[in-house]
Amino acid sequence: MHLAKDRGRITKIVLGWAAIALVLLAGWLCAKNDYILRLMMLAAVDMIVVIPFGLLIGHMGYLAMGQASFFGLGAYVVGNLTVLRFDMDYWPALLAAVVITGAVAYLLSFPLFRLRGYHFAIGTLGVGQLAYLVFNSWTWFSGGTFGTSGVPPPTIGQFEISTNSRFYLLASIFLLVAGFSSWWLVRGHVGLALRAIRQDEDLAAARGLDVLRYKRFVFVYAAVFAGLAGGLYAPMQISFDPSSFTVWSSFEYVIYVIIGGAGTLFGPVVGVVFVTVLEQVIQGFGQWNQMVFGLLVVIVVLFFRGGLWGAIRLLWDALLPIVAGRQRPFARSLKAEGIGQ
Amino acid sequence: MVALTIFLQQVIYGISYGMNLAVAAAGLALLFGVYRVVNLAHGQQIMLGGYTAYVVSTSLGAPYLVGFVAAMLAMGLLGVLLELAVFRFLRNRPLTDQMLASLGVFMVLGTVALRVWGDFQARAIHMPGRDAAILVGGLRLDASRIYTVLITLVLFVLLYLIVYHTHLGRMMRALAQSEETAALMGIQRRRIAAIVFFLAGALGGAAGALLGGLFNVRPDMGFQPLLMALVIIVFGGMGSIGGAVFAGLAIGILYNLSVFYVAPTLGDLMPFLVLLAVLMVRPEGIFGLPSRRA
Repeated sequence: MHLAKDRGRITKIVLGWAAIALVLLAGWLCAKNDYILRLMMLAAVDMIVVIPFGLLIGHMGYLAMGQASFFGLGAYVVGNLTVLRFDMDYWPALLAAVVITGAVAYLLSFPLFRLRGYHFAIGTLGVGQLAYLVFNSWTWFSGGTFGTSGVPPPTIGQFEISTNSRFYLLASIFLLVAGFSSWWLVRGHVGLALRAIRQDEDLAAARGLDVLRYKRFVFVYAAVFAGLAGGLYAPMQISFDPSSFTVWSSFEYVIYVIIGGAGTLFGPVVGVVFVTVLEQVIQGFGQWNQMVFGLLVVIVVLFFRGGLWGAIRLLWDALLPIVAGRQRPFARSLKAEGIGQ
Repeated sequence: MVALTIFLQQVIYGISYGMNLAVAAAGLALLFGVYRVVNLAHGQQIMLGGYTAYVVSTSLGAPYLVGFVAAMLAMGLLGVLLELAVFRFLRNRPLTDQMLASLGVFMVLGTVALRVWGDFQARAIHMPGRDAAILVGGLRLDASRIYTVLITLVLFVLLYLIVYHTHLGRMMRALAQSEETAALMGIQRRRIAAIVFFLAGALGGAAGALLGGLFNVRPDMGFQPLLMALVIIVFGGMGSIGGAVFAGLAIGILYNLSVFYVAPTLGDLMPFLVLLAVLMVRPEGIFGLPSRRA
């Protein structure tokens, strides 16, 4: 009996993830032209960064403002190893990028996790700026302001991944990995620990939770995926230079998570989709578009607690009693989480 | 001897730069100390302060000091406006929300300046003694730099008097200690909040007018001082104005020394390296209280 119930749950999970994979595939099939495919490809790369990053700043409540440094590090390690200084193949270089980014994040976690709250935010901001300056000036590593160009396309056997459409599929595979691992972590003891840390870190520590271990783990986990995304980003570009990895890029990741909905897995995804679409729409505003964007950020932060994903769920909640005569599960869960008082 | 003169020269430049940064940081520190918010839009208040000073003193031809005061008043009013429109909704919200909202304001204000002045052209403010200097021994004391240091000293004395020797200052410090108790003692929190935003904005505007006078006015001039000011308030201890002054001077001097003796790149890196080093040893900053749940 118990087993049957368990099997039912596993089936549900498998079906759910298969559905998500199908949505990604459907997006690929529906994309009309190369421009849209390119947007989708870049959005997928952003999502690889942002979903694990959401665990750090949303679930755990540690605002890191230098995530682009890990993204840039991943891109530059791949660039350096494949074209700039060495002549390695793409895949080992990507692996090296992931390992190096993780190692750097691990080392950085020692000074950074002596900090909390605003101190942590500004400390990571400092790291972001530091990384940008290093990319800019360490020519041996990064090619300096001229940037790195001509990273060879990854190949699988004879199959060369060199078009936007193929890159989108490659990124989608890693996106599924990022999404699934984040979901797996959140539903288990890590997720509980992160929520405990956000609500009251001292209390969690007093109750015997090894707070630092979880914090360090999530920080490195988010950085590894940022590095992976950077490594994927490198061959997608004809060339890239430090201006892609500024503090502003870091801010963008934060914007994705917060306006999408902090503390949820779908929130960051909604955020990336929303901003990507919005950027296309507000191009009509010409040079005012930054202003429209800024205003929207302010409005969403002020009036949509729980972000856009939260707003969608609240709307769903409001419709449920009308459509199906059920109570409002989400509003209650928000209250219990202390997000929407 | 010559080496010593050059060294002192760099220290002097560092002091004048550091004092300007300290003015920018003091605004942020005040805001954080009393209101518990880190306002990233402060960077754009610095920039718009520079433009206000430019318009009044250079385009309209008024004396520099008039432009300076105009910049302080205008940015103080902008601060009050921001408090009314944005920040009062952010009380008791997670810091992610506060920082992101102020980032949105940052973007809006940046676009306004870029649209109004149209380009990334650098503009010079006419300052008294921009090209004059006093020579003492081998040391060159630029008149404009002496002038800005004097202005910052006056500002800090005024700020000190306001915070520690007026009724208003006492109310502000009471709010910083405990908001609830202060409210129970009959302090009108909303009014003090508006005043604090005015003061912080005015300090930002002053920093902009000074930095714009020393260097140039540009639509993106607010970002670098903002980063430096953030480093300074953490370095000095969040919410401590004295710490901000000390850290501002230290960063300014270190910046100039490393630019001159090693490489300009190291100068840019320096504040962040210092920040990481300080945080390793003393996470709460030099003059800060042990960091609580912020």
